Amino acid sequence: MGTDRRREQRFSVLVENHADAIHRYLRNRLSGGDGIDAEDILADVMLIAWQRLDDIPPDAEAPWLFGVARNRLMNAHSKRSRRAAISRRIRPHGPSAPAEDVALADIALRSAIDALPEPEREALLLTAWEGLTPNELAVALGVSVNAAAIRLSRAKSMLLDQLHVDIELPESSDSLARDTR
Amino acid sequence: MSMSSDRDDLIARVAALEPARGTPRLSRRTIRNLVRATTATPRAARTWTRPRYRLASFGALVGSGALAVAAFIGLDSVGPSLPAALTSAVRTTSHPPVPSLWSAAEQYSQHGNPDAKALSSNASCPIALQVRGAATLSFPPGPRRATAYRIASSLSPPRALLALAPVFGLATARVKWFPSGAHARGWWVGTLSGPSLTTYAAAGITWWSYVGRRETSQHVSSDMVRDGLHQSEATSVHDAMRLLSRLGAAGALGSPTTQRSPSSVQVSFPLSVHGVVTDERFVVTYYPGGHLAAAGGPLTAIVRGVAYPTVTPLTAVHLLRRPKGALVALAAPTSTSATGTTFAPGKHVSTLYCGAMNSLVSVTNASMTLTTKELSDGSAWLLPSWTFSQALPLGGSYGPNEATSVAINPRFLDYLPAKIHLRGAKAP
Repeated sequence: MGTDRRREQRFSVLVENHADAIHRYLRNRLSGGDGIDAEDILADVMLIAWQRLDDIPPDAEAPWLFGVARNRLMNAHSKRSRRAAISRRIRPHGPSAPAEDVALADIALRSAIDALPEPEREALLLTAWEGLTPNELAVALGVSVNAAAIRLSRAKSMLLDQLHVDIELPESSDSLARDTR
Repeated sequence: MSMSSDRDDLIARVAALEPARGTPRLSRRTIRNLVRATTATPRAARTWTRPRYRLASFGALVGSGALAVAAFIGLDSVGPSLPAALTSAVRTTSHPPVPSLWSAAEQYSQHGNPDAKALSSNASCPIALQVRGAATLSFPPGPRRATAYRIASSLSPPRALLALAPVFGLATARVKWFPSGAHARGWWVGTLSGPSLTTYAAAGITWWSYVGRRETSQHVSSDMVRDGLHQSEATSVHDAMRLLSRLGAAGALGSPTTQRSPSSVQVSFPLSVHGVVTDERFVVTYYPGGHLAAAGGPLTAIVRGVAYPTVTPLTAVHLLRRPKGALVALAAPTSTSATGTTFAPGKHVSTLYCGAMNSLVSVTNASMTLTTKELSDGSAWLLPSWTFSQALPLGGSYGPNEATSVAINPRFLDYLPAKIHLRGAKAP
């Protein structure tokens, strides 16, 4: 079998095994709806995978693809929607989500996740949503296993801290008014 | 409950929030198409070597003379203090900034095949628009020339943070940072639960974003709305104007628009330059009771550039139909050599596989605006544009609320040459 044929075969298997997970990852990250198409970025990721097929570690194909998808996503966000990013950042955290979401979702937890710094949030979501192990997380984030574990641990701590703060330190709207007007 | 089980429970709770739960798997056909389309693409683009880059740069220097050299001489890198720093008046310099056409555009035109890094950083899938209604409209021709403006910020994100924090009553004793892009940092003060102030840079512009105390949002309940604590839109506009005035932005605000939701009133002001509305904006949101929920916008230092020959709105409508790559560079209108150069799109370039982003828009009116474009050299420009109002997206998975076409004559615009393959739609 020729080299090209072998490459095509490996790529075909790679797409069959992982395209769905990457697509789901992209759908998760694009759920805010900022005009970026998950299918486009998926095609982009697979194009890069095809061009760099020989660089992909056979035992870490999925996390490698997650890493590329993450980079492409960040690139797409920064290129296309600076204004949308501003809007997202300053979107009020009120009960503006659809009623069904409000009923089903843990609003406080969602707000807390949104407030995490991006590296910690990504580590947490890759673990919770994409089911990556610590080793896979390290490949996806492009850091050492130790650093990935620390980042995940920090994400959990920050999240817990914030959730506890929300519970323990309710303040009156009067004092808030003084602070924010 | 122990800390360990707390943490295990946390992952399960986060997992339950996954938005794409229940999303159907990609079909076999989609997978097959993906493999087929991808493997039909050349394995790797030709790399852009340093000698070739130097050759192109030399050609660029000879071709453009002193224009490119003079490009950024007029830009002031010293940041004035508040409030003038935040949104300064438009400055005119003796050497108006000229976009660095040649360093980028020659690279693409001479060698046709951009390196993978450049391609990946600039290429983006366009939205293919089908336009209707324009043929029956009679647009006024508009001005024959219109001015482009270089947009930047005179305060870096950390300096902006220190300057802005006192306005929001935030202490700056402990400034924190977070990665923002590949080699950049964003900066913030406050607490995760709010209030917090964040500054970061994108395309050379510093942005600020304030988020109020999160407990406030939790207190914004149906009780408050029911009790009539929602402040009026007029009061919100007044308060927002007062806040932005304290930030020095009062002179740069266009007409506000308001949007009311059950839990908030959002006031949006477009950034305005010499009375021309831009697509940059300031947004201020209030909760019931007049609590500041959030605010944000750009810190701009605007420098008048050169005036370009324009196209009529009708021509701009026709240009809407052409899918383009990313805008690479602008030509200097005073340079005949620059205007005489044509770039052949689609030659020896990689193919972009784009989704069927095919929107049908109904054009009813046109107005001159300024839209932000980031060139391949990283500079950001406010370019004269025709914005077609009430352009309704009638089809496609998503579409713009308004259609905008750069009003500068296309002879002065160079787009990344790219062969764009639209899946599921016939490229015009």
